[in-house]
Amino acid sequence: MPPAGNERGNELVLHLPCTMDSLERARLSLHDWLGDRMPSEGALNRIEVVLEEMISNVVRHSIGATALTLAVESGPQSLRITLADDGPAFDPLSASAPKPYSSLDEAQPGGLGIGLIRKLSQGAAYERIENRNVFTVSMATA
Amino acid sequence: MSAVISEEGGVVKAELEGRLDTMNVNNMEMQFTAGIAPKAMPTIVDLTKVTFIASLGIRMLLTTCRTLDRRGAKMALYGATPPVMEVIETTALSEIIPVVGSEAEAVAAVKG
Repeated sequence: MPPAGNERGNELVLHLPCTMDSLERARLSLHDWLGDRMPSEGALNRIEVVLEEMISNVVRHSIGATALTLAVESGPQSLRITLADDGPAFDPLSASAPKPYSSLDEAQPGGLGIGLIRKLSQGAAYERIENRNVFTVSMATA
Repeated sequence: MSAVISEEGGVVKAELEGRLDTMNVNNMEMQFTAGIAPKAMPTIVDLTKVTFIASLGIRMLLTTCRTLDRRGAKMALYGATPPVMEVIETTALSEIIPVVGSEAEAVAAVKG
């Protein structure tokens, strides 16, 4: 069953449950919506990684979120991805960046997802709006 | 997503195929780790057929490699496609685990 949502020209809006299945449903919906606006292979991979990390972060870590709203807006050579959830307030950007790896023994496996979002995007921002976490990321398409 | 684990010439080889995304790693991490870590042998991981990797995939490779390291065995990755390589380099995994082009190079890295 396709996710509830709508497409309005330059914007894709999806309403999804806060479950693991929503990761793949969002990815496939994004592919369909991109159509002939498909970014370069490298840019598409970066967009998929960031989308995966944004949704995975809420699905795996939020205690109490039940619903997600994903909005993707197309701009000149960029995509603006916004994910809203109804969980308790949490700013994913508040976590400090993980320490650079210096040795295998000291490497901490946590914090990789937000690190990927920071490094692969053009910018990221968090807001708390009307009891929802709203996380917005800008991605290059070229 | 599949993981085929075999042994040849004193080296364990894990051939991964498909997307190493959150859901797939959740489903196969146990099989991957259990198939490699207890052997405590030099291990090479074939990424040739991995089309996508996200943070949980990186974490799986890192934790397995660290377990092997603590048991005195090395692990190397090889054959990463450009999209997978970009994520490996962005997370700096390649700073602490050998990531090479070919199977022969990977075998040399873990046996050296």
